[in-house]
Amino acid sequence: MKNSIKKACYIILGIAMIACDSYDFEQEQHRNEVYLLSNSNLVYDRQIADLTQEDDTIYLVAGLSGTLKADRPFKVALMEADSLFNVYNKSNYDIETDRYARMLPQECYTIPSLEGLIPAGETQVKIPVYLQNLDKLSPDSIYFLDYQIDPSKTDAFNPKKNEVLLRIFKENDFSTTQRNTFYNYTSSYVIIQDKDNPLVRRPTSANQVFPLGNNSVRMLAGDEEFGEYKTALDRINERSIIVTVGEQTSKNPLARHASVEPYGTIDVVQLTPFEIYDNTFLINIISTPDGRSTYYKEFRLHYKYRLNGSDPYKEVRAILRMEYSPRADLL
Amino acid sequence: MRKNIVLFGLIGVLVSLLGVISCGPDYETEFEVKSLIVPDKSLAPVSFPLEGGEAVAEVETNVAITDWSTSSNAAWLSIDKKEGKVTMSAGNNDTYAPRIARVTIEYGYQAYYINVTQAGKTPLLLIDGEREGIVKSVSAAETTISVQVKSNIVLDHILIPDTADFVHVDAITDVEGSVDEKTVTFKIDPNFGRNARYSSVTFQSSDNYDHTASFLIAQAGMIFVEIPLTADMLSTNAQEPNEGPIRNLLDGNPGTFFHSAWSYSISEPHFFQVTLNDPIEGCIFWYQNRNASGGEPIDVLIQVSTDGEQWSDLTHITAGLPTGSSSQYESAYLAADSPFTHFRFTVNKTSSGTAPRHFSMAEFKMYAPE
Repeated sequence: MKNSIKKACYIILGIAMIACDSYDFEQEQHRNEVYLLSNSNLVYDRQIADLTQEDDTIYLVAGLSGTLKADRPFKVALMEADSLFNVYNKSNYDIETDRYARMLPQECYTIPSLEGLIPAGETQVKIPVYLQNLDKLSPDSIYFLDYQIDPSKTDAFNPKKNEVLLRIFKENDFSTTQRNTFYNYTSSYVIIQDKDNPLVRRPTSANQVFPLGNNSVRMLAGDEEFGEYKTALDRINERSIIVTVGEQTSKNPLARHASVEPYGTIDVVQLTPFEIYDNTFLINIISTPDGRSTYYKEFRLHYKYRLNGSDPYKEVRAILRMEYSPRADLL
Repeated sequence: MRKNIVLFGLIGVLVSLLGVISCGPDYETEFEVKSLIVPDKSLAPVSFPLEGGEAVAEVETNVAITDWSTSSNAAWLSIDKKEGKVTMSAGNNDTYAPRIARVTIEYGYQAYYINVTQAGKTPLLLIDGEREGIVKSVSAAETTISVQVKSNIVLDHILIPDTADFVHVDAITDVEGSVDEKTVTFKIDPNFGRNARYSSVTFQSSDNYDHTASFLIAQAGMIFVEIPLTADMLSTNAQEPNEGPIRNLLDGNPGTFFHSAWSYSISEPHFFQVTLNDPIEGCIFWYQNRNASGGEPIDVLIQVSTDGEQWSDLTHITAGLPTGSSSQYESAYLAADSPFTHFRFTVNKTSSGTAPRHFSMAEFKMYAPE
């Protein structure tokens, strides 16, 4: 009797174990639908155009949902849109229309084809966007491309992910628009050349550096400030300089010549090299006795400027320094 | 039962034995640690003379020569990799500045760096035979000065501070019979101030910006003498009849004063003027306010004339005039376009109101360059 009860229990237990194994992992658990890759706000902001190349390529990415690889190809076709773009501006800036994001100008990009194919067994297709003339973009503005799935030429797609705002970032060796890049004043002077009221200031602040072209950046002159960035357009235009980095110097291969020009209305005169303020961009490697090295990118500048023609010049002897890692350079 | 114990015991011993065997190290396999070391003495900075040369860095390694690398970041420094050593070679440095380079010897993530420098040609830059310390003293009058600059480098920058706007480069001329000397002439503006003033002048070359030469220009201040004024040289359009005759301006007594009309009105701003015996090209004027408050000039127009009829503006002072009791004011030197014999002091505004309105003054003087 006891043995019979034991056997019955074993049989029941065995049946219970088998009963739990009913999940069919071989079967598609979702739908195969085309979608456009983006974050939860329907913005795709993970790509940065490299200004050091004449042209660079970023991608509109169409993916295919589903738990299994599709056994057939999926056609994808895109078309221009603006609804997300308008929503972005309205929800972020409302009536502040001068702060609205801008569509990337036509002269700055080429898309050879707006159609693609997700092959059977694959999960995405990249539609290339060739970028050029990005030096014409303001580093203070936000630029987008807005595309949506063309329903007439696309196989099944997810209506909640059928449009994407492709954010356009740009970067060069010195700065990026993807995040704020600051260089700190080190061993620097601002000397007011007023014979009646001479003054020497020692700035220790940080200067935000914006990428312009492949080898040029914009920064504020001397120890000027632009205050609240949201309302700083006029102050930026009147107080900023352009620093262009050129060829390697004959003296030090880690240094490149740098020249200073006005960005807007500012009166800027580049002065001749003075001691360590030698108008160069330098990769400065500072080594400690134990063999470790710290790497800095440095603008070493000597110039004078004034905001008004009747003001005395302010002479700037500046070292603007940013630490970086050559092995994991974020720029 | 006993049989089972023996059986399980044997199985246990067998499993333990297998475990011990499986954990045993493999003494048969040959492990060779690859390493690359550049000894400290080879990491010392290398200095090449002007003519260049060769230097060798030892490399202690068991890595195949094709698997480690070396490089130089400067075109002027060439690198030759051999078994156990790296040879660095530099040619002649034709520039007037030292130059630096960095040699990298690396294997995988392991890297060694050697800093290399090479001297440049010796630059020559002398002003009147010196690199610094020369002082050129000049009078307050407009003048020119020259210095002899001897240099074997291109002379393309002459630096004068913004604060010394009275010094101008006038000419750069070759010295006859000398290929490395030039005469540089500077034009010095007249100093109309009473104080001496100074300017450094620095010569700089794009061949070597660090090798500079400089000298100092010291210009004496202008010496001014007081113009002897008498009461008959003064006149006004608005003498107050009840007090303050205009001759009080010259009596040397700050307790007395000139007062313009308050007991009657005129339609134009009040002024007084000076008729000089001899023409002058410019002047400094000085005055002292009366020892009571009210009526001090704060907006003054200075005009000059050669005939007392046609007047031209010399300056219009709208700031900086004192308003305190017995306070004094001395103007900067006021230079006219042409000599003048008539000087007019018109008060557009006083501390009490806008012209036409009376004003007062205790003393007045004029100075001209010696």
